[in-house]
Amino acid sequence: MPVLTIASSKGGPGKTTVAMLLAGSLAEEGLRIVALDADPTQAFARWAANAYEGSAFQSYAEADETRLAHLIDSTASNADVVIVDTAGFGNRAAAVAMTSADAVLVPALSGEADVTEAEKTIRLAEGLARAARRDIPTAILLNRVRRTQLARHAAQEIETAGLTRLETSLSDLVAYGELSYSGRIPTNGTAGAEITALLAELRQRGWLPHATAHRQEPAIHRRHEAP
Amino acid sequence: MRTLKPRTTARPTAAEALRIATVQAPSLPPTRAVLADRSTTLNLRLRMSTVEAITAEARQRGLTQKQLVCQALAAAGVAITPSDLEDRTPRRRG
Repeated sequence: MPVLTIASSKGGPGKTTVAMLLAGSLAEEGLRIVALDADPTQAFARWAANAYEGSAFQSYAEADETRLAHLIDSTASNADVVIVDTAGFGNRAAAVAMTSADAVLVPALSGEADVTEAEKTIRLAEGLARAARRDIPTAILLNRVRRTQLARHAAQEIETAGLTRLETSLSDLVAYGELSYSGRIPTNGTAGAEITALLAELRQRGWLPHATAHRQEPAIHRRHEAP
Repeated sequence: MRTLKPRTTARPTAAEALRIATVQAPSLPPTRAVLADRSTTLNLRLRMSTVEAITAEARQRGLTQKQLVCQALAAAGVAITPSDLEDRTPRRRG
């Protein structure tokens, strides 16, 4: 089943927030989600274990590239979607996660450094895909967007670099920041609409399966240390 | 005639993914600094007969008990760190 890796060699563009939004929203739809936290800070796994309040999904914290590779291998067959959150610097675990991915999502803020590092990440993913002789689509997700000339300029820069950008973007909303403490995935208002649009666009690209009938048991989250 | 390999849609195995990542991006550092992979202890409560069997087998093979156990685990597919497969018994100099 699809392995979606969320990567960027720059810290702070919202990789973990996007991973939270996707894992929580897809689990709520009844999909069997496995979340792999390859960031040594373990922010995603900690959130999943301590704060998250939605439908259950499995999460593992594993930053070692060898164990991560085996973990992706072993979990992919039993999950509807595997979401891999990676660390915000160029590292081997992220490279392995991109090589094993069916798609790579690269969140980026509007600043020059974010766009530059997003491009580097995508070029690396393209090289890994060539070496693996696979098509691993990539796309940039603009995050914390304010409807300003800066955001339009960033979008233009991405286009000029020949990179794929999702039409959906995530706005600079308090709801996303609160998520790390509240453990609740926004379902209403602008945030809810943006998350719905993000899922729809990823499905349109074939990156995510459609919701299924089998629903997870609610509330209690199962956290596993990587074996 | 040259054999042209088709592109594949299959996800690479763990070993292939590791090899590709290492070859394509050899300069990337490990996610955790090697220094962070500190040694720690694993205490097992086992039957005396099991310990005696491990001791005898290790002695016969010229291995430490830790090496014997770690090699068996590695053979079973557990990701054992290479340094744990070595004999690192402290020895007196001279």
